[in-house]
Amino acid sequence: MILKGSIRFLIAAVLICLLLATTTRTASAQADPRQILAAVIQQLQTGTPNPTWYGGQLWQTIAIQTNNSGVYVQLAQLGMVTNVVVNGQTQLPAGPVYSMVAQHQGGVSTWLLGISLYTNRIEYANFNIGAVPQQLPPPPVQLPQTPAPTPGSAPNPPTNSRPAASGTSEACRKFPNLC
Amino acid sequence: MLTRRCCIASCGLLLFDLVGVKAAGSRHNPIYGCSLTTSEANNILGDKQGARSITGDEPMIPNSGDKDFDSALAQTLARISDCLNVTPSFAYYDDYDGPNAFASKKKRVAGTDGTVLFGQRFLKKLMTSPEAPDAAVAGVCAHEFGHILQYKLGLDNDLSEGQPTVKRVELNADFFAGYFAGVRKRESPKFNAAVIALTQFNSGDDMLKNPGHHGTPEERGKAIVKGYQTGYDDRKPLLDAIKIGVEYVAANF
Repeated sequence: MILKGSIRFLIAAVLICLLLATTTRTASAQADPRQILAAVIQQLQTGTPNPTWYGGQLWQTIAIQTNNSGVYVQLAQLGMVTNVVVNGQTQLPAGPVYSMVAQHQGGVSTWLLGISLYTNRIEYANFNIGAVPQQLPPPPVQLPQTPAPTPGSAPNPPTNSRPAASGTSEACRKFPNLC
Repeated sequence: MLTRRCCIASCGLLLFDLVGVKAAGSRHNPIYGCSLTTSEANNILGDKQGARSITGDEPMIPNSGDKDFDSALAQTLARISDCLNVTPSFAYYDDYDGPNAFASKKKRVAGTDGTVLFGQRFLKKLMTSPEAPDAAVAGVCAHEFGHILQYKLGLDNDLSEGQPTVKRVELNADFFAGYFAGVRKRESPKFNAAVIALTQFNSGDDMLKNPGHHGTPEERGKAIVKGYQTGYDDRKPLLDAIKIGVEYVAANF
């Protein structure tokens, strides 16, 4: 009797775990990017983008670019994805960016997908219709006084930007308690 | 261009675990100019440019044209959003007739708390600031997000009731920008919080009787410092900070 109860509990626990794994799935950086891309394309072909997969800015950009339909017509016209190949990967402070090519029934689309380590969502996406793989962005240059990743820091500040040392800048002279 | 290409840059603005704050949905849609006044813009930017009437319907431009910058700003916006517990849509717009940034109650994107639009020219100008331009941009964004928080809670109406100018509302938004700076400073000691104070200080104006008066330089600087102390020294949670911020401007201005 106890054994039966244990087995039932075990089965229930496994089912719950499977259910949770299905319902809480996000665009995890640890998942296979090919599977993520295939799903993204399918979502953007059918107008069913999953809001838990995309960063807010990306989500609203999709909404703007598709006029709230969630469908990219050009992508839909390419047809179902038959294969995805990862051409490259680069690691940016915020997370990995993958360069991928998706083979469709009616053509090819090339992609860059950036998945944030902070949000575990797709925060950057760029696609072209065509066979030329997209170039990955170069790794950011480490700036002496602008440690990366520091939200609020621009990776490429203008050349006349002079990060001032604490305590010597105009801001620090005027507001010393904030330095 | 969209027929061949979809270019998207991003940030993590979607926050689903919002504190129990209630949107002031029944109120009208004011457009506060941070909405910088022309004077403010001139003070910051040194330009003599006219201001236009902001409608809140300006076309939204998703990208600045600099992917790396957009990516960095996206992270910052996500942090401000998290810190102040608001989820506005954010985009750039063409501030052709004068550098500006503003917050609006209008929900241009469904499911958001309002809209923040940052002028392309204003951004360009701030990014040429001699000291930590990225922090200056973050400060302006935090101020605008502070307005969104006010709209969400209805603070803007409470603060402006019977007031001849928008000063209380603006200084309260400065307080929230300072609060964000304090929280960020705790997380990252190198964060240049002083630049945020200096930026707002430089945005002060002396048009004391003008309805658009945002506060004198000293008042704006102090509001930032008060918010900073609340977030950094006192380590107050947001709900406490909201109360402190309202009491601060009501008692002092």
